[in-house]
Amino acid sequence: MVVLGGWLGAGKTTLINRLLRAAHDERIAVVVNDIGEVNLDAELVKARDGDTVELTNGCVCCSMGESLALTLRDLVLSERPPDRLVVEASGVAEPDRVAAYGDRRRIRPDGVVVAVDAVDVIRRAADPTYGPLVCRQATAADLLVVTKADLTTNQAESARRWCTAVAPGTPVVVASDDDGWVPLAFGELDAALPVPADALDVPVVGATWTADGTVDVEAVVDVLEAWSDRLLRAKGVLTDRHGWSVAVHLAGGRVTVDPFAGSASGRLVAVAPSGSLDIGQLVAALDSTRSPSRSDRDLDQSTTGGVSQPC
Amino acid sequence: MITVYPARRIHTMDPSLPEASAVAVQGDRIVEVGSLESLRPWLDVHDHVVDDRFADAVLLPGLIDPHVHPPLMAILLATDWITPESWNLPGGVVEATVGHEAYRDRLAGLEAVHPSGQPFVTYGWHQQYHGSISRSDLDAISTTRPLVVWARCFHELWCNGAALEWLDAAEGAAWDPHIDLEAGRLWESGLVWGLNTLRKDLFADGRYEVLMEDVATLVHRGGVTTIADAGFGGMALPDRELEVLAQVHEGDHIPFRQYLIPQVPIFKREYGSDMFNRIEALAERSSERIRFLDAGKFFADGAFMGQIMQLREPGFIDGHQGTWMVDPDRIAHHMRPFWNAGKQVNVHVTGDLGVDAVLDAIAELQEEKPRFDHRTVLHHFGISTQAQSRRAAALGCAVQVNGYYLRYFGDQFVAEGVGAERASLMTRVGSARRNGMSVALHSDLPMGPLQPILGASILATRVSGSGAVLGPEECLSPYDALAAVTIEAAWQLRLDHEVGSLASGKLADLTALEEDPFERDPSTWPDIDIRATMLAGRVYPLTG
Repeated sequence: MVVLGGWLGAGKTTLINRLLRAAHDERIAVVVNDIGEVNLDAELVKARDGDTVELTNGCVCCSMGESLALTLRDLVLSERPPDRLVVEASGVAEPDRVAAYGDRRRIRPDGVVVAVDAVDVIRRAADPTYGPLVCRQATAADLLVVTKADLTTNQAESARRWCTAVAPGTPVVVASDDDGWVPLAFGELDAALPVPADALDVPVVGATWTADGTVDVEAVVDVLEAWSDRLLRAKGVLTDRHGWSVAVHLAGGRVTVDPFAGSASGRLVAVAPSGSLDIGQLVAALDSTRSPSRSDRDLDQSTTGGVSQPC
Repeated sequence: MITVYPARRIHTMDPSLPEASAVAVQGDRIVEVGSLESLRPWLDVHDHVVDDRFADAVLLPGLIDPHVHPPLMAILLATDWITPESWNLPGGVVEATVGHEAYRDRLAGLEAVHPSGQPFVTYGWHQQYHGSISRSDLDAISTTRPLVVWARCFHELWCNGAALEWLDAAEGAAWDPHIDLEAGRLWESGLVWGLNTLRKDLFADGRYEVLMEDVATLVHRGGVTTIADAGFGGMALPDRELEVLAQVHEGDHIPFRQYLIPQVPIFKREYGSDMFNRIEALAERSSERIRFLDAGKFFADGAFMGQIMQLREPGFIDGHQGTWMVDPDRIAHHMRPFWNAGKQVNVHVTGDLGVDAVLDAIAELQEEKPRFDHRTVLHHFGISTQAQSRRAAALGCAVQVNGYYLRYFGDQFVAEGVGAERASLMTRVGSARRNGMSVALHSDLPMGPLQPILGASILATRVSGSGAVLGPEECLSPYDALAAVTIEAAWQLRLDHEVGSLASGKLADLTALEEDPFERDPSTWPDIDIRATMLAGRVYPLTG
């Protein structure tokens, strides 16, 4: 579940449309506050039924209703559960509170994406009434997406600086036409690395660890939790001691483990702000989780960097 | 046929003719207010009878409670009450329970006599008055019968193990972060999960209709002849709610008129872009006792009782944050169709940051489309500043407050909420009056008891639960306090041409008291007995 936050008018609807367009082989269910207020691209819309809009690519968009928990349950337990959930947080919500709904047994959290209005955010953040909430939203983000950059020549850069000042260490991307930020929003690290260099502001470093056999999943969780303040994300599909495939995720500082229907790749990918990750240490920690037999470790390291340094 | 009712004294609440000693009624209207002598020109010409039943009573205009929630009260009446304040309910008087031990004893005592095999649900627990509670406390009382403690502020449930099972809370906790199985607590959206099961149980076998009849009894006992449901649509789909109302609150035996104010966010969620047309269409469904106001109800910040209103600096003592119920930036957007159509705007607003957001919205709408006499009402108006009071007055707004905030939560807000200055000046009604605003009083039933005379007493004295006088400069005068439950409440419902004062041509709605409030200290007003009410010329005695 991706939580999409950001102040009113920050471009959440635009991002939702982009996410839905980019969903080529996934069925995404988008949960919004008020379906009547979401201007979905007309060519995406297949059918409307009250609070639910069915899209031509199989995705759906629906209103939150009385309770987000009940809405999510109905979606997940439906006959055709979506592959991924995207929940729009209200413009005045603290998105991490919404993300807490994903921190449960049945829903995998993919983190918090917060839209930042290039034109408006600095003025808004200085507003004595609304400023504190705008800043809290930004600090809750795992990924900040600067919107409306096409409307302005220099404000996008100012907005980026604002983001790195308010939320140091959080990656900032500018929503560009190529939607390069979308995989990152979905936590698809394999796809996101390498991220288009001009889209990513904060230099990050990624590491891939290969298990080569069964692991003690609880020990992997312990390692990731211990490292959670240094990692932006981690994701892997591993084989547990009983031979079952499990998906392990770290997003938004939380680690989850879910059964995985397919076969395990045995690989775990981790991403951190560059400079904060001692890859050797992390690998050593993960190596100790191999169980029962240990095989040679296989480490592949790749690095991407942004074009500009945080101010 | 004219019926003349002589009285010990009549307070008309019309400043042009404030006192009288007789009122002449024909059909549902007042012919004239005055004395037996001054009424002669009418009585000499028309058939009349003199009805002496109020000869030793004091008459006021029929009291008005302009903001209540009957369906919410009905669901709570389905539970056993243990509350920090005493309540006079249809099933009997609920004495106040204060203190940790007293609460536990009462809870165990009521559970022991509850019919076996049935879940036990109690309403009214309040941390400040009753101490903390948890699943283990409730498990100590019973491990087999489901026990549910519903908090006084409404937004929280505490359960024993059996109740967690009954409410399927383990499943709920898999989906909702606001369910804590270990503590037995369901709050915010977790409450919605719990209510799914709870509501079915509480309203089984046609109990809802019966309990709505009990609410009607409470309205009558309060001496009230006009109420407004300030959140119509909140409990069930509008059609279903109207069906129940027509069944239980319509007819000659019902001693009050009920005005409905649609809760706009609910209609918006239910009907989307068709919301405005749906609300417009409701007007045609008004009947004799159930009527729609040409108005809408909107929201700004969170609830006062739970201390989740939005405050300007310096905020809360403990630094916690309030909540917005809507984007504060969007308040004008939501109000605009109503404003432009000449409808009345009612806004729930509790903290001073919320007041800023609402006044910004009204100023924006005034700029776009100036309106005179729009009577926008700021409901609750918990924490505000003097500058906001003057600005609200300049923009043409009115305030409507809950007297019980100060009585039951004033001390707590001083000590643990916002400190002495701002807490003492909560519901800043004296300033509102001095700045020229209309001030009315509501109970927000079930948040406060539906007893306008008690509420008026609190606003005229500002005595808190501990006996302290909070913000004496913000007291209402005795006259303004009674006006807040009569003519000012009528004005705020845009009904002051019909009700709220006693004058020739107005509806014959009145409330007969055993004592004259203007001869007594306002602190003793709650002791005054109500003898009867009259609605549209028909007398409804209060017995016992």
